[in-house]
Amino acid sequence: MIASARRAPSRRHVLRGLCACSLVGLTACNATTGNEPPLAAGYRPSAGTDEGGLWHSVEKIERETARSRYRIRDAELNRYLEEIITRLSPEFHADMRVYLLRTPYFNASMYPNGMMNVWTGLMLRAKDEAQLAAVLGHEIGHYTQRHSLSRFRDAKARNDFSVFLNMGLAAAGVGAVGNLTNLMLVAGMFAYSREHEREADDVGVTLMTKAGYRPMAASEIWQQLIDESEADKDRRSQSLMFASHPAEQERMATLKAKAEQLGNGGEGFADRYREKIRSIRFMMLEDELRLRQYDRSLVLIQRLQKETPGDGELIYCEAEIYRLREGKDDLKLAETTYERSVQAANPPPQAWRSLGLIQRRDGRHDAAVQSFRKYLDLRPDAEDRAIITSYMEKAA
Amino acid sequence: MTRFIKHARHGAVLALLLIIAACAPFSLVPASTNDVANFRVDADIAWNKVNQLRLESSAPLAYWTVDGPSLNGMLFIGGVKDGQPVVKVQGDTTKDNALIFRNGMTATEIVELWEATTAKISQTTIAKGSNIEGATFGGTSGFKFDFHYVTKDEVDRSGIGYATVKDGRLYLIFFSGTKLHHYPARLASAKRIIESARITG
Repeated sequence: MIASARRAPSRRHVLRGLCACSLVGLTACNATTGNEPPLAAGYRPSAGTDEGGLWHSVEKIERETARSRYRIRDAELNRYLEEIITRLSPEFHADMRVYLLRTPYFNASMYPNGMMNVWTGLMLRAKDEAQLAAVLGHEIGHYTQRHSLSRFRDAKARNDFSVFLNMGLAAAGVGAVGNLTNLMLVAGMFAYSREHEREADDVGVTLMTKAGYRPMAASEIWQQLIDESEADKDRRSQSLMFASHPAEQERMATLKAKAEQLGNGGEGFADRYREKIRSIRFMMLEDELRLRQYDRSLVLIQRLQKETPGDGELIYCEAEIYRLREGKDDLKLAETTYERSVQAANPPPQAWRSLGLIQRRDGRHDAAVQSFRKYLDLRPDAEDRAIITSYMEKAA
Repeated sequence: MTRFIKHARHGAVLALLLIIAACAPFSLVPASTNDVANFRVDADIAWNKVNQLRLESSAPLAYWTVDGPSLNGMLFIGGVKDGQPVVKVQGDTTKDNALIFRNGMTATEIVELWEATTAKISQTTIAKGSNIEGATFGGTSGFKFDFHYVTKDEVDRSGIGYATVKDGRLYLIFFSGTKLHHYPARLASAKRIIESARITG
């Protein structure tokens, strides 16, 4: 991490940063006013061109992505993502490959050769299939409009490679962007990227509407992100990206206006979406909790609860936030929330374990033993059976 | 195996809890009794102490390795005070009260904290403790746990931790290494050190 920032960034990291156009702007697509002509379906550049060289390098990244330990390999879920892409872009779907990666932040990214990465943080946050389609449509827009190529050529022409090296590191999640000078340069480039983001937004909302999705979903997902980041004021204030990239409100308003023009038709397919992500939802929730971004996560979990009231798994996650945060009155709040969880539909057995931990810390040993026993009854193969049993024995 | 070692080395910068300054010097730890980070331990083979960690803690901190810091190593954390992070990257000024040790935490909660700390420092989502059970450690009642994580270099790593809370302070020794070779290759020596540990400060 820190040591890596002292070394020259690897070619792979630089290419990741240069080539991927992503939704959030963390890996902002660096716009150029001289746009490339849009792609034709089935297009492949010749090997002797700069574009051919770019594709060749990205194909190596794609091979690494394909075998990544962070890749979610659930066949049904991957097929589902491919179906959405096919629905959004019947013309180009055969040219694109989607990879779902276990990364608990909101993002998706598109590479010039048709590789699309979708992060689990996006899957957790999308309210329905329409919201996910809005993001995937946006990424398809980057692809068909060849924004990565524009960005690549623009970087070469402007000789801004040092800035891109640092952006490459940031894009690859490697670490700090660099010193203040570089940060300011990067901030300037974020402002410069808006043209491409606007264009991708426009393509995305058009594609999703044609595919039968409700167009308002595109602006909604931005509003949800704004709500989360506003809840996390400390981190937001520390983020130069937010400070220099105040385009969220503007993008949301533009998307909303566009959706109003397109009408109120379309479907969200919320039930189908929830069913499809069911197999990985608890893992995604656990990954979110492990970030320990309590305020931000609380906004997310409470929103998800509004969408599916009485969901024991979500109520458990809310209680976990209180238990881990351990602020004033949090443990009491956690306890009553666990109690709601275990009485709701589909609570995870871990709710009983956490309830027992709080009761134990509070010296209520009999209640703790009962909770721990319930946990072990519900999860007889629990890998932490030994330590839980020891808690019970000590209490007795 | 060559490819594996190359991958592991390539990932040095991202290895768990092992953020080392360039040109970090090492010093030999002889196969004898040694004092380290508020522990006294007996080593049956020679280890190498990494002198310039880019991690910090409110407690004394040390890192030893046999085969190389990105391949395997043992982290000693000698007494984290209530309200302090177990360990963090040097210079991390994040106003973050989320990853702190609190006196009164159960073994389960300390392992949860270790998972979250590892996930943050190693920038990974795959970091999981398991098989927590009571164990004598540092001459007092404590616990041990197994650990598995994958760093961003995509190398699977295994770990084993022993911890105890004494006088309100958390003492932890954590050995980890690449799952396929460098963890199992040195586990026996690591365990002998851990099981010999006495708390001295």
